[in-house]
Amino acid sequence: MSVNSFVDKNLREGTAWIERTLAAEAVASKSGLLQAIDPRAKLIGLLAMLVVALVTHDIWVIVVVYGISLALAVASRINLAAFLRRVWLFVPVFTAAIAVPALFLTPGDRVASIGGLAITEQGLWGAAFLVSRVATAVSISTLLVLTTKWHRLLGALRALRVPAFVVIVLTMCYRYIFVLVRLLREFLLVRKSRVIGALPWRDNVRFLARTAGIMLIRSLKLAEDVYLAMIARGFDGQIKLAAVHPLRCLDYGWIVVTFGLVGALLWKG
Amino acid sequence: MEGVIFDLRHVGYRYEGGISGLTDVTVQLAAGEAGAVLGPNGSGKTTLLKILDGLYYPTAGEFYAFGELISERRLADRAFNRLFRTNVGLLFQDVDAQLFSPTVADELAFGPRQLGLDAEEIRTRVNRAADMLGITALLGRYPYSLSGGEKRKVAIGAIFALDPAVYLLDEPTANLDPNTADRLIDLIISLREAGKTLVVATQDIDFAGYVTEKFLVLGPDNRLVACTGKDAIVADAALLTELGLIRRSWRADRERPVHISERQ
Repeated sequence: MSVNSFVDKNLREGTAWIERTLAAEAVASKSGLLQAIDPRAKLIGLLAMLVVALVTHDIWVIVVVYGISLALAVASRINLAAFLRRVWLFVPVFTAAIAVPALFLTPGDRVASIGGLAITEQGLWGAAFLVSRVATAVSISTLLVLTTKWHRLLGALRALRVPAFVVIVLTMCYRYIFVLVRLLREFLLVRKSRVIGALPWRDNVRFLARTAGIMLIRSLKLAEDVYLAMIARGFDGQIKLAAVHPLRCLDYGWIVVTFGLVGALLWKG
Repeated sequence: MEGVIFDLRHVGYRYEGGISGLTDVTVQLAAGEAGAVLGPNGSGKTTLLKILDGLYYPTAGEFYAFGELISERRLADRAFNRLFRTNVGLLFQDVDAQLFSPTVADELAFGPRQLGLDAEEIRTRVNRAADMLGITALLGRYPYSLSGGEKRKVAIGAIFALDPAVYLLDEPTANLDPNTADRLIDLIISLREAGKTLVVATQDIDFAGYVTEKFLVLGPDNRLVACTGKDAIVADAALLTELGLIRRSWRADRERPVHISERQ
């Protein structure tokens, strides 16, 4: 890949990432079922569903959980086509390397063959199991991410006893990724606007190395300034976060329903 | 000088690598006084403000605040740290560094929360600061989704929410549209009327003239060139020209800064 196409690719990817994130935040701002539930309750309920999908040995239980995730997506006013696209784009990435060999390598009853390699019934079931399990897990995770604003999702981690400083570090990482991505985009745009034609390979490599170095220095300077800005407003090494609000009836209702459902599915499966 | 809040005695500051940030600065600022720090790029305005906010410690000379010698050790004392941070608020030049919280509302609440105020008081301060700056509609927004001017308004609001006795403002009008800059001038004038102390680092000599009466001028060698009433500095066209603090149009058209209330 030439450096010019590398620059263009990064510009496109950086911009697309920011736009995707802002679009996801727009979904989280809609008034749907999951958006109305407190992130702590939502996290607990969806985690329970995720566990069922991962531990069950009954494919129909996985199918039911997947169906529930689709119903929740609709009830949360998520565009179903976009949701399915987002989930099923991921699934082959996680499953292809294992599911495809499993089709041929699992011993059992032969049902078909491709190029002399036998596909077994057991191999088909194994691949179907893996694909459905991963699709369900990705669906549930996507539901959580799409219907919860990031800062509230990170705040919900405190309910799982994640230490406050870890939550703060994650929050700040998320906050400053945007600053750094925008900075990188500016660097690349400036370079693009000032370079005419192709540069020698050595100059391109030097540019990439310098950009990486400057980004590192800028991020270190930014980190120091952020620390000073925190100290300037009273941070003394012990971070104080907003008080945690109690859960509402709706949140408890969601937990009861999801746990009831999960219990029934586990008992059945 | 009575009621001295800040007292710098031959203060110097060198960054790592020996780069000079400030050299031999001696100046005092009293409670309720308003001073503008003027100077060309790299003259040490931001360094001076960071020393006044107890973020940098002088590498030469002494800095006293509220009658106490400021050092890392002194500010490590929690009671004094709380007193100092409650009373001094700094607007950073790089607003992205100052806006580290996930939402605008969290940003405004950060300072009051660190000072241990109760939830009701924090909410009141957040709403009041947002109202003053006209950013109530931004409270639920994320800092990364704001424009440069909006970010600066939020950063200023975060200092207003602290409600300190001393406001240190580093380039407060940068990126602000003229209307918002005028609104900020009105707000600062109301702060002055409430007895707040103000130090503004700026390149905008008009703005400095509206909101302060004392000019501290730093030279390119990071030394204090002048520290006197604004009229004396404004009248010294030779000094302003030498330091590059005025533009040709200003020299030709303006004799003194005009207060916002005089503009018709």
